[in-house]
Amino acid sequence: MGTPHVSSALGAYDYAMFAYFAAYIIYAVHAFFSRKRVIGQAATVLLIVAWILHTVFFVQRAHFYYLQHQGFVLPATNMFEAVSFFCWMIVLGYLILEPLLLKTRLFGVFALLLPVAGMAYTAKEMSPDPRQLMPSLKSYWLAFHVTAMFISYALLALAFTFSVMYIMRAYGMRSMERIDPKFNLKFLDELSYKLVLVAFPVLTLGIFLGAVWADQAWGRYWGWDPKETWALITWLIYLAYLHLRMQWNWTGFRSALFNCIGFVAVLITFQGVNLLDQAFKLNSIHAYAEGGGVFMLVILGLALLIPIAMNFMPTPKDEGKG
Amino acid sequence: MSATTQHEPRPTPGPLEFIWMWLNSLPIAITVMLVLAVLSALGTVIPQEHLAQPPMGMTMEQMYIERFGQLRYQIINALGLNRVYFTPYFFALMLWLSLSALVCNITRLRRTVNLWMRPPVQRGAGYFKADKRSRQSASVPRGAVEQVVGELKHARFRVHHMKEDGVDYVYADRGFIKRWGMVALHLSVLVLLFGGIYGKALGVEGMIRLADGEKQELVLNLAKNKYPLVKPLLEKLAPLTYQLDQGTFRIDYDKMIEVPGELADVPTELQDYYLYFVKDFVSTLTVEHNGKIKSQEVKVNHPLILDKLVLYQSGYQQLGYLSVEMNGKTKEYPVTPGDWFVLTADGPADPGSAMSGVEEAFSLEAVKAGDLYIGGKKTGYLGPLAIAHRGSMATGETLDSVLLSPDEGLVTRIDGLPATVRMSRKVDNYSDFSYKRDPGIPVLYLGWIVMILGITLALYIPFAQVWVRVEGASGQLLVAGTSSSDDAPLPRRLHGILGIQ
Repeated sequence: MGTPHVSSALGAYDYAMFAYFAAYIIYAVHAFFSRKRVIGQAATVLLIVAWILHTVFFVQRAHFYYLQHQGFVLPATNMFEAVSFFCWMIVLGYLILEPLLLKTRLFGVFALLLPVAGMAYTAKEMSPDPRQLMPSLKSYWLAFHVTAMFISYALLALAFTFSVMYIMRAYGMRSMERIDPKFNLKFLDELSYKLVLVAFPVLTLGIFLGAVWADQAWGRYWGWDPKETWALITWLIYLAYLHLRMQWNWTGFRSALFNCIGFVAVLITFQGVNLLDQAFKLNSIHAYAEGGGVFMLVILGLALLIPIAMNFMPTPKDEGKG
Repeated sequence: MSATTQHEPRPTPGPLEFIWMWLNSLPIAITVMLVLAVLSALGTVIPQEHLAQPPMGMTMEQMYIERFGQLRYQIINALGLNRVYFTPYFFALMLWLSLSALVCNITRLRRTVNLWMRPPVQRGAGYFKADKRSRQSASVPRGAVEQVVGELKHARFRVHHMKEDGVDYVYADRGFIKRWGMVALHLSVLVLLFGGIYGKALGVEGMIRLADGEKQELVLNLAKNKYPLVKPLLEKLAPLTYQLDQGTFRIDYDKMIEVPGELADVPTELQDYYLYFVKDFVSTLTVEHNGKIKSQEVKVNHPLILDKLVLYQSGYQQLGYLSVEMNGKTKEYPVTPGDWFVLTADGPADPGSAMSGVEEAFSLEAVKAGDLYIGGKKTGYLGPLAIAHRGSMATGETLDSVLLSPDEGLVTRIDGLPATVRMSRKVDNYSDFSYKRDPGIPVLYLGWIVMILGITLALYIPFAQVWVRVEGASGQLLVAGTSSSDDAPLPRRLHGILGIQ
């Protein structure tokens, strides 16, 4: 009897993706067409269902890895699982934020854009198959390091979303405030800052755990590998952001732009390094997985340059208005 | 003499003060951070010498020239962009940032200690007027100051109360640990830097290759390749000697319990080969130093540590042999995976050197040989297995792919005679260890922990300050910090006590 084939249908994952899309559409309907409370509640309930189904997929994948490797392996070992885990974290972050800080369901249509797009990206571009785990990944540090990094990435993704909303709103999209009075500049600015405040120590912890793991696996805690270097760049950008915010009171538009630059650095650390490795043959020891090609690299490059360029443009007039 | 009061011109700062001011400057520090970020990013688009692996038969320089062209390579090389993290300017920027952290830390520590030891209790009326957050009261009730002190103490503030010339002054603060967190955060940068330099200055690292059953003496000369500053000191220290005894090296294989979709189209007879993957590289190593002996299985993520020397399983070579049977005789030849070769009566040869009439060339994928585990259970010995790709010398196309093992092989012709090619049971294993003795590691870890603690305290603990000045019946209140908004419970209670409307 031969080895059984991995089921091509992902089951829980497919259902989760369908539920995410449906929840997103209902959030959009709630934001733009109907303010009925029940519609908002339906969107949240469906989002929770989607998230639970997504969790079921991870449990199934962890069970598969347990059978294969006789130990717990966090299902974030290839790019499909990693992007999926990232989306899962963002949705979890949003589900916590919605009742605690946002207190409205009208943010959903903006905050969930990134995870929904991420899920579509995994489905279209990536192989869902579980990978053959290389020996260096068989370590309990994988779970600690990756979880810390992804918590920070998810929080920074949400901070980025609110910064983009700030920029849109500052550039005259008053219709956003008509959608909800909470879409005001001061609220968006502080929300995005608070998220960075939570994310930054976790990011620092994640980098530290990665260094400890690298020392144990490869005999060096820092090797200027592209992934490590971009993690440092990301850390430096957010460090500068916090200094500028705390010491120079850089709030508002410039702060939002800086936040966007920081998040592009996060994306390059997370995804772009694999693309850089393929494009420039860098021999990164972290390039475990496939990427999205040069097109994706160009998109990331533009995403980095646009906020930098915007910084030299005249500041919008309603800067600083609450 | 002029009747108007003239301000004394500010004395021109001396060179040291000037440098101190620059090092203490936040704009410069942020600029340096961002320049470091840009330079670091540059190092991730230009292959770095310490990571780059030139293709077989090519030097590093040739690889760069092929990729960038002669002129651009010369520019890159002259600017050191192919080793950007080890250039003097990168080091200078790091040094600047560290000195800046040091200076900032001294300034911050001085301020923090001052605020802790000599809190600014006495503030003049002007101080309150200058701050928009301050509130006034024209009728402070009798005994209000004592009530304020009690209220602040109840709210776990550190309270200082003094009376001078009939004026009551109260200063209180809460969450002072945030200030110490800031100090710790900046101090941690210096600890990290110190740990890194200390490790580089006094540590040693390298690679060693051991064959099965091989014994080697590892002599660590602490002064070798060291900075001139520390070299004379280290030369006085005796070299450290470690005896290494490699028992065996083995590769454990695992088999995927399900076939991934990407292998669905691979022929069944070859599929198994791709389902086997390396579970672990395992060396049975014994190390002896100063009478201490340690023996253990060294694997990736499981280094051997003896007297501060850490030995890591960092690489391996598994060399397989082809067994060629021709004319009733069998000969064995070592093969390198990936390279194309032709078979001659004298063994494998480069296709370029093939005589006319040779029709087929071969290329082998990596040899797989070792203990096989399935679902965590050892099920036997795998291989040696390899897949041989057979190519046509005439067209350059791959004709077919065949699984080779000691029992299965392919039939071909060598010098016109029939021959059978299989995998030999013989396998040579070499194990590569990287070793390190880095006394800076504990310092570095301490630095990281202090940094994370410092960041957490600095970002999450709110620091609140309260000043009260009561002169006769009029009073002034200033609440600064996270609970400074008028409708927060504490300011509201203080307003009530002081009669602020």
